[in-house]
Amino acid sequence: MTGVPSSRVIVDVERVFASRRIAGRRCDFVLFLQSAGSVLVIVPVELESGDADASQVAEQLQAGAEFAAGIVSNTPAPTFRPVLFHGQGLHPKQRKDLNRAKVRIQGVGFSIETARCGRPRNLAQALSPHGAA
Amino acid sequence: MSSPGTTEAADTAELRHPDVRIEVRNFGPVAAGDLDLRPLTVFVGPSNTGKTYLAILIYALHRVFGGFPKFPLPRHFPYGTFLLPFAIDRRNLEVEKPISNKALQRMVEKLSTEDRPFKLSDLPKGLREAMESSFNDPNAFGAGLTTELQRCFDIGSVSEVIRRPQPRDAGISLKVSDRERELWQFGMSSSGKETTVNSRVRDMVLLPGGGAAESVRRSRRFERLRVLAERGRYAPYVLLQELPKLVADPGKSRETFYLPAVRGGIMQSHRVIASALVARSTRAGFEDIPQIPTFSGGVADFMQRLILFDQDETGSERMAEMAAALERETLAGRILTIRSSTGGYPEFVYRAKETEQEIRLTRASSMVSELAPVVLFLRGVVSPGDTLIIEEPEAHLHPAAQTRMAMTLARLVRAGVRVVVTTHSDWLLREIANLIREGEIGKPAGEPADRDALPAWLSPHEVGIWLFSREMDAAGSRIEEIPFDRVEGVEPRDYEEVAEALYNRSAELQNQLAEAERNEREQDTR
Repeated sequence: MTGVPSSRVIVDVERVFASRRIAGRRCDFVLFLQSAGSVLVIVPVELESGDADASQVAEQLQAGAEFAAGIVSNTPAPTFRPVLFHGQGLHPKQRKDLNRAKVRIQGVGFSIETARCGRPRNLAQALSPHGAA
Repeated sequence: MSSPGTTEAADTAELRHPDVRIEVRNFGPVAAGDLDLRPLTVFVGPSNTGKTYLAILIYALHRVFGGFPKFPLPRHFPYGTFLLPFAIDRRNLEVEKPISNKALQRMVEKLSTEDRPFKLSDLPKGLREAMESSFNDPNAFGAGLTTELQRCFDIGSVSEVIRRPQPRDAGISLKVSDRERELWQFGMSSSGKETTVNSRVRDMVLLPGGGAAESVRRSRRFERLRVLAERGRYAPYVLLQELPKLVADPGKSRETFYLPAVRGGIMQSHRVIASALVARSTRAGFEDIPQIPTFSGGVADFMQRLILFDQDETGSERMAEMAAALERETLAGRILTIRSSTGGYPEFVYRAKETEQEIRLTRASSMVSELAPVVLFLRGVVSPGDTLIIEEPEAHLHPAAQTRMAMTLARLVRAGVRVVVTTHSDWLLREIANLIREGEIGKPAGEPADRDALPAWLSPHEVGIWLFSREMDAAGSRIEEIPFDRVEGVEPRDYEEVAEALYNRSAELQNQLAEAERNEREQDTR
């Protein structure tokens, strides 16, 4: 994870949900980062190797965001940046659908950002305004 | 998978172009690269990486070698040598030792023998040597290519297209093969001051034996050659003039046309430009004209075609159908020619289907100006077997029209036209990938050939997508092929990176706006 702040926590959501016997959709990971401006940035991450269905992806990231929000409930106004990692590229139609499918948390609809699996500095580029140059 | 349109494939087999491989070194922005010309060759990549340089080089090579015939001799020049700015020196074709009548008659005997393939090595030795020496003479093809490059790039010296910093040699190499078998190759290296040529022609079957050669043997031209040989009234030059006409692609059109990127503007202004140049020429001697304006060869040839465009000139019926389809499907109207009774230069107008009103191209949409030359060239200029080079066929077109342009390119390939395009269009490349997928699926066996009069599909091996790219610290551009991938298609990777960066910037800005609104709401509630 080059270009991403070294001060970070990565949660394997799959494992946490399994250990807590939580059913339903979930994303793959949640990253907790501190940006250059000392703001907590929460990054729910979904990995898709095949076709990415926007509504399904949004649901999974939503679950990850809610789980993270529960952990940091006392933190004032954390920033959420849900990210979809895709392996095959995205069709313009998929991007349009993703743009419409917001992850709603704390009364704010967050747009899903995207990154291509295997590209150098992919996460850093997706998070570039948050201290990950 | 069945191969679609087998009947049609058989129709175009006769028009099969030879395999051509081009290598360049220190040529324009390109440090080094090589590529194959396929039925559809596409150049992609950022600006200033050499796509147009290569497109123009292909045009120049085509003109010098007359469409890459299997037998490279100057009589193949499609426009006749008089229109080219150089002429092959007849002395270069003279043989040192006279060829005996006996040797010539032996050659004619071999030519006349049915069922016996006639090979290059069956030519009299002196003639072969003269031909090889001409091919390797820097003052023949080397000078021809140098002059044609100067004309096509509108430059005073070839040193201007050599990649700097000098001193460097620019290298151009051309290999022509037929079904994996090399026929000939031509290599030229130029420092700008000195040109060296290294070429060779392989032994090859010039005239196959059996029925295929019968029509040639019955031809008037063959009879003339035979009579000349019998009477001993021949000259090597005459022989070299006549022989290839007999044996190399008889009757096949191999012309090349170049549609420059600025064609829309030229369509609107060619009459004014031509009139101005002619008016100016009448003042020579009365007025000091410091410099006559020049155009690059490709643009000049394009303008000449327009000025001399004959509305009654009819090309292939199939090509005319393609032009009509482009008018019907994309232009929703017709491109008409009006010949002025005063100036003589034709004017092209657009007649919209709905209104039947004729609109001058200066008032028509940029799409109409852009597509008008494509329609005109298909209707009356380009024939199956020719090569058509189109710079940025997507220019000024709506995305839907860009995808239809990809279909036109595929139709041209199906008709036996070799197509070379430069492009930046994501839409065009996506549709080309779909047309390849369509070609892979194939059509059900037994389908009538005429069910789709203008089929549009491509086979993966028919398409060459060449990416021109430049690393930040590299000495120049490199060329690499983007192979067709059933999932990824044929797009350059950086297109998706641009799309991703654009999308993420939009998402990020939306997130910042949403957060700012949330913060405002929270402040209001405190």
